[in-house]
Amino acid sequence: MRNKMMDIAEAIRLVEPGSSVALGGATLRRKPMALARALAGSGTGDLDLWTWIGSLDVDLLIGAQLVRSVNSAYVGFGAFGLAQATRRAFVQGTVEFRDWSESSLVASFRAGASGLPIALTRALLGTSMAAEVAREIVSPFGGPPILAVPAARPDIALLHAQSADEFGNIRRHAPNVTDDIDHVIAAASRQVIVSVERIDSHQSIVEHRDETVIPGHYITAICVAPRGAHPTGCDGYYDPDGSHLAAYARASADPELLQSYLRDFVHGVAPDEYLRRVDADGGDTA
Amino acid sequence: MTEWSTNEMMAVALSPHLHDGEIGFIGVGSSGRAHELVTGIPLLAAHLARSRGVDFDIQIGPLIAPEIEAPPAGWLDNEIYGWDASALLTSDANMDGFLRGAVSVGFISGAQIDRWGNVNVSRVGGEGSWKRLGGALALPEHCAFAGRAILVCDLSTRTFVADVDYVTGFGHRRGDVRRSDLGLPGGGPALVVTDSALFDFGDEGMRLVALYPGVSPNDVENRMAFSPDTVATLAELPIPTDEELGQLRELRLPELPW
Repeated sequence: MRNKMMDIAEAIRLVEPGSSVALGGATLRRKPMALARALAGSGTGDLDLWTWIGSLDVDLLIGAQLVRSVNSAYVGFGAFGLAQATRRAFVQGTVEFRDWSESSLVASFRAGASGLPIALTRALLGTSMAAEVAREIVSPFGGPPILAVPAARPDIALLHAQSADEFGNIRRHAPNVTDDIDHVIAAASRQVIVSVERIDSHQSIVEHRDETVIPGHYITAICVAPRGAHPTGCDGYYDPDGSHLAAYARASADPELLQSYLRDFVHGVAPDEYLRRVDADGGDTA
Repeated sequence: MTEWSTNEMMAVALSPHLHDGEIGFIGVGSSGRAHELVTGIPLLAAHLARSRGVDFDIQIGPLIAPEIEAPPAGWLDNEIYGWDASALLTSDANMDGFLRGAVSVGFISGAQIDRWGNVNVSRVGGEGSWKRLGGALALPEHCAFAGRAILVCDLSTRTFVADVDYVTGFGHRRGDVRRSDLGLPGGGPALVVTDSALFDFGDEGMRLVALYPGVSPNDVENRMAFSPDTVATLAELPIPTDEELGQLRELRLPELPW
């Protein structure tokens, strides 16, 4: 087993311009925000994003003008409203959007994880999404028509987890939220960067091996990032930061405010400095 | 007679349509009115059905059969997923069950709904004027695979449109294409619960079947951009009984945090 520890700046240099980047978590929970901020600050562009259910991660990277396309079942801020930088990019045509449903995108990631070129789905039959991401095929074994969708095979995945050991064994422990597909995304991606709240000893991982959700040999880099999902939540560690989310939602709605948000919280702002600025702003988790 | 709210009337109207041995899929994570429509009202209706002895369970995404009568203290993820329940699946395993027909009832709403029950939560407008909403989430699965989908939605000419701009979830028909042509295994939209009336679906599409107390057919049609079919004998639902209101009010659902 190899030590996978890296700092965030070093790990994010693994993302090359023009690559496909998968983002883990879902809506306002366990989004890889520290990694997304580092990527947004790196200026690495022409990215094709893949996320099951996107929120600030996608919107921030679009706001930083680094995104070429987005594959997802949703991009929005849940209870905090619509993702406005994302909506502007859609209207202006600067980002290509390919919309999926939840199960069809799971199928696509699973196909990627099992080395298949396509997945089969019926979820998109009759929908407008079918024209964006699917092709109708006839089963060689008979039966009604079915849709084929391409397998998701991202160049690199960015995930946030509760803990891991230095070898990259990713642990999910109670209290936990399972409403994401991070383990499938990890298996489908060529490289995987995971930020974690804390490092566990390898002995502790061994003692709780049933809690290891992604084995270390799938992982490229582990980065320690306390509150690394902020302002989204991390199961058992902190809830979503309502006041910071509301502030981001306001910034997202106005291009100038968004640039000012990026200056204050993203460009040249290291993770520990980010948390100092958030706390000075009086975030819920301060 | 006790005063009742629109939400309580909607829950009372929905409740008899939830049956023994079924499980209903309820989503969380929306805000404001949408949260009341897709989360609050289905939970109230399920509680009311259970108060009458109907064995109706729910699932909140991958959280299976939570104790409806003891709701969480709040709607934050750590609170929702800490709700006492029979199972907390991973999302991919939960989707498998959905696709093979494990969900009896899907509760959904929409930015646009048409005569044939096609639902749009993705994009509105048209060539040159498209605007994005949030996205599909699992709405296509509700329409395609649930035993039946129940739409919970306030009447409005902006929402009840002749033809949706974009099909996020397939209803019963679009143009000449019908559900049977597509081989969709679920029942599709079966009931529309609004703030004024109930609809089902017949050969001519959406069909007005019952009015809430004091509502006229005209009140309903004036708030829709198409004329729905109407059953021969239109029911007027009774006002909620004191017993029903008492049962609804014992369920203390948390407020949204934001």
